[in-house]
Amino acid sequence: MKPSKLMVHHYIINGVRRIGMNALDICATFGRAGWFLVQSLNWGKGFKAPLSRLVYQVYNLGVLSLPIILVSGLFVGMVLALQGYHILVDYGSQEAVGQMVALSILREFGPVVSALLFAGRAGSALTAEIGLMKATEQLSAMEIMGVDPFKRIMSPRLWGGIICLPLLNLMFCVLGIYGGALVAVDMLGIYEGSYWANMQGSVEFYGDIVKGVIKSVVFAVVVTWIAIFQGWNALPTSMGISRATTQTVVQASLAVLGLDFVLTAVMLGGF
Amino acid sequence: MISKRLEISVGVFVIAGILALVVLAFNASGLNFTDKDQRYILYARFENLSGLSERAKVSLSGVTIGRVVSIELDTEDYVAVVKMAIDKNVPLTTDTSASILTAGLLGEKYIGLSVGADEETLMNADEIEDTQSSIVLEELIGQFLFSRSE
Amino acid sequence: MGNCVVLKNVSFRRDGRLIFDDISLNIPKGKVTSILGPSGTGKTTLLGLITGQLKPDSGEVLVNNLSVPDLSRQALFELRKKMSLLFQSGALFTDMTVFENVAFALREHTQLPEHMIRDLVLLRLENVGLRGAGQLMPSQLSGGMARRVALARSIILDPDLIMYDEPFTGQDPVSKGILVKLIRALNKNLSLTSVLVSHDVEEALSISDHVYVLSHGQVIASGTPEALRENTGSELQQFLFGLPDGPVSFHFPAKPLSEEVLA
Repeated sequence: MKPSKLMVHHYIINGVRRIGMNALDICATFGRAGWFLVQSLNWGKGFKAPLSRLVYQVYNLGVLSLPIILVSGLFVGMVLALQGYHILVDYGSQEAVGQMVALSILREFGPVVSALLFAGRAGSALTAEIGLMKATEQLSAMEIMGVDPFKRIMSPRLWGGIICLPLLNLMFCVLGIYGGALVAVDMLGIYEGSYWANMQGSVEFYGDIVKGVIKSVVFAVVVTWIAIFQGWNALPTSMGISRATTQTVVQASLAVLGLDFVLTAVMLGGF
Repeated sequence: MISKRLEISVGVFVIAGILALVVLAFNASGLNFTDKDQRYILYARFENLSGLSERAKVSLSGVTIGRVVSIELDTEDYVAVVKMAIDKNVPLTTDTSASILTAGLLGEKYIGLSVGADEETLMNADEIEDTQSSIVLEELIGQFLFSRSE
Repeated sequence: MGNCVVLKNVSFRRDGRLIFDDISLNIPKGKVTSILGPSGTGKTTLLGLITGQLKPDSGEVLVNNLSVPDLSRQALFELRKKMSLLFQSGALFTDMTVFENVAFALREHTQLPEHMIRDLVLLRLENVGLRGAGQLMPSQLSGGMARRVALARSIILDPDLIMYDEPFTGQDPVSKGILVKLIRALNKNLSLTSVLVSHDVEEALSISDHVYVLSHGQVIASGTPEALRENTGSELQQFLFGLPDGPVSFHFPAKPLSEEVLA
């Protein structure tokens, strides 16, 4: 059967319509997420709310993420030193392994890997926690009691994440660099003085360390934001919460990697 | 209610994070806040730096005694002016010579100093007169080929 | 005696479906008012409109003579301190003890010293007969106990208005009896205005001063419990006496069985 001209028209118009509807949907989601972020950043007038909430979240998100961050940092540094040594030894520049380990950890591995681990360890937990609070009507109950769930629930979590991830990143970097030293100096026999001297010759405090921390802060905002937004937005069913948790890890990881490229480009571009 | 142990662990966590920043600053980037008091500045002019960069080492008999602070171009003579910060405990004679050297075949560039026999020493903001630019591999090969073809 | 809550010509749509079609209700101060209706008639939505969580498409919602949809976020939170809602699930905060759950609003909204908070919370727990359960976690409570804790939590700030969302659902006869007694007693002792949303007809009728029956987005009957029992509207009778079929069909709309199964 040959489709009539009218039917073809119909398909085209429907297709365009669907694209438009999806675009509108995406815009609406971004708009709501943006509004959500602004609401959540608001700690409340004059920072009067008790600090204990923030302390608890720093414990929940930071202290409990420490083991995975520290162990990963150590191993990433060790592997980098091992790999770097075997590449550099061909050029007779194996002394530069300290510099290579330090630069790659401070600039990239530290901020990115700690953010990815944070998304998996703390982000998913945040989504599930808030999603369950929503499903069991705890958020509504709070609202009815005249307590703003943004200030009571979202804000401490968001700020907790923003405080924790940069600190975790710094610890990751330290462990990574010392892990690298462990392999390079103790295992591969590079002179300890040149491991550190080469590193100190090339690592800049502002250009490498501070910029790494800036990256980490940006990742912290994005990962925590996605996590709490997904929880808040989750369908109040077991299926909905499991989906939201998965979404958090997927979206946060993609956002971190994508933003890392953008930030690196901007920073290397002379900022 | 938040227990004491939780609060303490959070305190330790935050302090550890800040400590990590300090460790990185001093051990990884060699940041030294007492820089200005313990160092003095010397200048040297080179015709060709060929890859010497800021923060490069300045060494004497293989021992690092300072770093390159900045590099500028003198637009009158068209030579590079290198500003170096040298350890105060290392006095250098006025006839000290500076040359740009390479660590290993493809390694980083650094400034190597060798001390002369003069009695007087260089003061802050003095200039090292005797300089030798780096050996440019391409020029060397060019010269070699040129001499062979004759 | 004035009205605590007034709904005037309210219409509300969700996903294009008309949930309320131009309904008007008055909820008098100091009385127990029940809103009855089959599942899915938007009774919970009605509570959402009163608490300002939802906004009507048209019409007015007045609580204490304030128009709820027009309030600023801050004013709305202020107003909500004077009302409370008992959720169907109880909605206890699962990471706090029973005591902390009840103390929550006090800690959030007042600067009372710790010993006063303790006394107030214990009094409220005593009201619902659970003073001994203060240190339990919500997961350790039975369904009926959880609902009573939620009740204690919702009256801690001495609200003017308390709303119960399906308080009897899933309760055994004993717990139901306790809740009926509690709702009645609280209404009298704390001079509250109570709104009860339910489809448990017997319990609701037994404690109400006034009853509204909703169906298909409209008020199909209202009056005192006695008056309703004598009302002869067929839909009302079907609902009140639990007849399986009548104007409200047992079957969800579908193609005829013969067509779907045998074709």
